[in-house]
Amino acid sequence: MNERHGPTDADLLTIAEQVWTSYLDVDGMSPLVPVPAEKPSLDVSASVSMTGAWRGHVVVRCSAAAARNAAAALLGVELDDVTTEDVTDALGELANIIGGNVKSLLPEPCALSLPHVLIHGESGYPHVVEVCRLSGTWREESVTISVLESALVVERTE
Amino acid sequence: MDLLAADDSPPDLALVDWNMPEMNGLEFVTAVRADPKYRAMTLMMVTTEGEQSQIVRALAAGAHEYVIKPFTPDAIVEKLALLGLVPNGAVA
Repeated sequence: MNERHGPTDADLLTIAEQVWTSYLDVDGMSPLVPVPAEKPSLDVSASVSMTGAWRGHVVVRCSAAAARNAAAALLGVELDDVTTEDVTDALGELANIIGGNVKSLLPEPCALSLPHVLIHGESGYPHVVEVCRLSGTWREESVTISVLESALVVERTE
Repeated sequence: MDLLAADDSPPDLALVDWNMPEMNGLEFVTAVRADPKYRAMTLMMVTTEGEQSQIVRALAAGAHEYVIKPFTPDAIVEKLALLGLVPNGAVA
């Protein structure tokens, strides 16, 4: 049987908890609460890609309201003052941080791309399999984090 | 580097990510360290990239500190205190 290396749902939860504690829930009052897998909100999609010993993507999807809340918390601005550029910067950074921590669980060497953020839509990820996912609610809004591995690589190793 | 060159008084500290457009963090650190004008500037890598080889390369290129995201503000202040850029009393 082929031994697969990669993050698990539990790893993803640990990473998310660290990120929320550091940036989005500093006072501990509004943690990301895991919920059973659900259809992710597609308002905002932010991703980073990895190439090298492991190929795939880490994707953060959330509602528009969650994205604005994240931008306000991450950038330290009032919610009413959050701009579209703030949302793009913040969600891209969120994907970068989560992706970087996922990368630390993967075989080396891997290269991490710059983040890609799409508002009101989702990038396509052809030929991938979802290896783990964290679905949650944050401030009563939907947030989903997925790790997608290139199926072409998976097929070759099985 | 263009932003730095346009500034008559270089900053005391630069927080540098590894993954950046145009020029990556290692290239930036190398370029800054090669220019005597920025000899006094403190460089702190602040990045998600945590491979040991990357940390070694950044420090060898001239970064003073290496912080892996996510981090707390206290962690940054603590590093700055170690570098003598803030008083020790500023550390909670």
